[in-house]
Amino acid sequence: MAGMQTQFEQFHMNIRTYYEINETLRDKKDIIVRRVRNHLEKNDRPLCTPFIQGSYKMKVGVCAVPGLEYDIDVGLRFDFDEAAYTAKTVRNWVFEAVDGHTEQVEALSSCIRVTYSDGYHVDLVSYSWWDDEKGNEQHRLAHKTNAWRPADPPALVQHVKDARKPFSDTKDTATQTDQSRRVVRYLKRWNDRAVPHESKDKPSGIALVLLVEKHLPGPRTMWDGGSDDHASLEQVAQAAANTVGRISITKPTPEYEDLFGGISESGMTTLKKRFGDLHQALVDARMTSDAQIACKRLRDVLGDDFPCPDTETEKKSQVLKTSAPAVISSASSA
Amino acid sequence: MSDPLAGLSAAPALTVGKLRALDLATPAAQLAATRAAARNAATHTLSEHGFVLETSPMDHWRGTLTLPRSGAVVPIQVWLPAAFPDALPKIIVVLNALPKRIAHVETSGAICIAPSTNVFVDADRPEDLVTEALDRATTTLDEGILGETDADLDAEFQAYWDPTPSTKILSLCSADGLAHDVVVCGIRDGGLLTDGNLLVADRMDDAERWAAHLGAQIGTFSHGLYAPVSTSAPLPLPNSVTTVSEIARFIFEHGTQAGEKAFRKVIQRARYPQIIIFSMPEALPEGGRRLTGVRINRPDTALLKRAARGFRNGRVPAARILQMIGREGVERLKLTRVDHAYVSARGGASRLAQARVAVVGVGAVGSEVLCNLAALGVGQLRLVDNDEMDAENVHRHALGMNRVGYKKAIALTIELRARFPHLNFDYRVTPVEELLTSDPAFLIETDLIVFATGEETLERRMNRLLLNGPPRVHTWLEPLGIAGHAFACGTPAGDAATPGCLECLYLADDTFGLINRSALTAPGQEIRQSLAGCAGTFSPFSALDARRTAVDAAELAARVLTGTSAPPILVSWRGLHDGFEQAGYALSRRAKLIVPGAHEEISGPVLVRPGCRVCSTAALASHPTAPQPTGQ
Repeated sequence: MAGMQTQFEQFHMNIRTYYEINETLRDKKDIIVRRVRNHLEKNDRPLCTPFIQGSYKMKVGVCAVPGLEYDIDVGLRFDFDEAAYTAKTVRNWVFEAVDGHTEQVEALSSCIRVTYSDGYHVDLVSYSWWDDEKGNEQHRLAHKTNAWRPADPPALVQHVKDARKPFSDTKDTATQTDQSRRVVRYLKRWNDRAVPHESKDKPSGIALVLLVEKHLPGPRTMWDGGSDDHASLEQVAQAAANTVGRISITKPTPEYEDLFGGISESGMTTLKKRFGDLHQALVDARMTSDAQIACKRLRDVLGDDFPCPDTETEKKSQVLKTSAPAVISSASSA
Repeated sequence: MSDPLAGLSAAPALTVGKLRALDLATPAAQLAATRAAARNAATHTLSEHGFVLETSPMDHWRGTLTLPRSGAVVPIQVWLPAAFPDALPKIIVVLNALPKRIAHVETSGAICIAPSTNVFVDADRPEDLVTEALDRATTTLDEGILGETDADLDAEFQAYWDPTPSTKILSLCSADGLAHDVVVCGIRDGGLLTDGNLLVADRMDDAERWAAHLGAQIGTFSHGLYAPVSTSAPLPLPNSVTTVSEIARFIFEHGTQAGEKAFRKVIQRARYPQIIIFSMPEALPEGGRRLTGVRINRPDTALLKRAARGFRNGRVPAARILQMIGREGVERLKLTRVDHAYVSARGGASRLAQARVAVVGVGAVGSEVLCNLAALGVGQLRLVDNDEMDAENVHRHALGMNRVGYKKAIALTIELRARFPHLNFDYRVTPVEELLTSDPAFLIETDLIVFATGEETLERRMNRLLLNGPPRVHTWLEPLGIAGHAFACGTPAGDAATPGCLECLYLADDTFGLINRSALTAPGQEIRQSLAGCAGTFSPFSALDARRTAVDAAELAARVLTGTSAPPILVSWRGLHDGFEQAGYALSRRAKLIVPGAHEEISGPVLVRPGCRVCSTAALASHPTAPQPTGQ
């Protein structure tokens, strides 16, 4: 069944979350950031400027599935060069600031994680941030074991922004989200649903963002010029499933690492098979002429948030009231 | 939105009506000079080939062709037509010099050296034209004498049968069927036909209806005979006479038993003149039959009296009459076939002869759709429209100023009947919704319905009501020459409705309400109709917009009717000119996918909209069947 764009956009509505609407997460982030700033100020330490990064910055947040937590990545910008303080020192400042705020505060490899009992966590990522003698902005990430590591959060954001430019005409009416972002959200939900826990064998959010960028360089549209998310998701899934060898995406900014590099060999095999299953489900759904069957097939891989109205619901929805005009300008003549 | 009138100032200046630099006399003078030079060159070439100029009765050249393979030496004449070198030389052979009848040589002796169509000549090489004409004539004669082109003679049967027809005989007779009597009518008050010509038909009412459509009347009539035969009649030699005996022998040897019996009755009946029509197979790979005929005029009365001697009136055996009048000559006739099967085949769609199509909306597009469907040979066309023809429609409608004030459906029916008298046309000057009550069979008992009303509300309603009815083609134009569409949906009679209908083209949008997904005009714009219909401003070729859309619609209808394509199918064109955007109007997102000037066809499941309230699986399960005809 082709032309399921309405269902895909509804699915997107159902799974998406973003900074502005996730009040709980926003509040928790604000409290923690305030706590860090207060702690630094009180101890006469250099102050930091917080900024949002990760899925909320990339605008591809999805609601957490059972077993996973809502999370937000907060960058802490310290305006000094890497020689001023060690990474360990800076990480300790942050850890001290939030230690005891909740029952679970952990020093992870690239962040300090504050976990709440109600299914949320906030990751604090510290950066040393300065202009070198040539006037070029420099950034280093405070790593647990590898000290200051090269990083460039603004460049990564700009890179993704640029890659999405061809999709500017594909924003849906309801959420003003372009096709590229919608497809990333579909993949994130598919990924979370298949692996509802943290795992090294599970691609990260940024890995999926860049995977979509690689395999979906431009929008896929239907005959009427409207977005065809079904085809675009199918395109990405097929490309990933048919990758020769390992799926590999090089991060376009330092440290230019392979974002799929941390996945084990067996994990990669499983991942490629999962992409194959996703692709097959999308093909099956496209080939059937029955909308109900198509929706059910997609639910197999995308989960129950994919809308699948039964016959009765479908009938009822056909008479739903709308505020849209009923007297419409016509461009037809004969 | 900016003022649409602002676009007017940007219109390009007219390029017609200006004075030209070319002097009026120059082309004719140049043509005369070119022809004179070409004749001189040709004369020189002919001299080199040994031809001698003869000046009586007009200039021509006399000489011989030596045929290399058969060894024959054939005397010929070469005539240069006035249009030479834009026309080929005419080469005439002296027929008596040929040992036999040869294909591609007319009874006048003219040798066919090139087909009359599908060739053109290089007029800048008059010498080569002459040489090549002589070469081609040589080949034709050589092949003919050696018998290599004898098979072609049959294809040229008619040319030999009756090269100089005196009476034109139109035939409505079917070329199939058993031997039977036919009616032979004189045409008078001819209207579009010439007085004095004859019309032959299987039945009298066929002849009357056909002639009436042309504004003619049937006058005196007599009976004739239609006789199928299994082979072509023997080709008469030039200037020879075909006799009654030869015709009788031909029927007895190659006709059917019924044909022979009927012919004997004709002879016995002794009513003259008698017309005998032969249906004979054509020696073509694709088969088919040709009609030809003879007229047996009243023989010498003395012969008839001698034949009747000793017999009671009306009981003279046919054999006796034939014995007496056998040597009488018959008049070989050339029949001009005007029967449905023959004329429709030229339109390429004789398969549509049995098709019944209703066209709802006889406006700019609908009227042209009707003309196209008739040209395609659709056997039965039904027109539904209650509007009258207005003067302002003349330049974008199949009807002209002489029909202003007429109901469009009636006027077009009259004109189409005259153009295609062998087809059936009928009309209703009733709104289509009322027709569903008053005469639903007129609409529903058809093989396809074309909707060309331009009224989206009405057509969406009809789409729902007729979902289980015949297949439908909806066709419409968008304003200012930006686009035209034809959309086919539905299934053939007997098949259950399947997803894919007009409603699938519509999407519910929170801002604009319903959006037609096929539109190239962005939704939510009010296009000023007065401008949209104003030829010469934004849409300078609006008449052509309607016609090309009508061609798409008719072709789509034919494809659906013949089963060569299965709905749903959407055919759209995008206009070339940019007046639309200049006038400040916006294009839809679909328009951005179609190159200006391009045609696009979409078909199949992509046109099916999941959850369509009319044709989705759920909707079909609860959809009432189409209104049942009342049996009118």
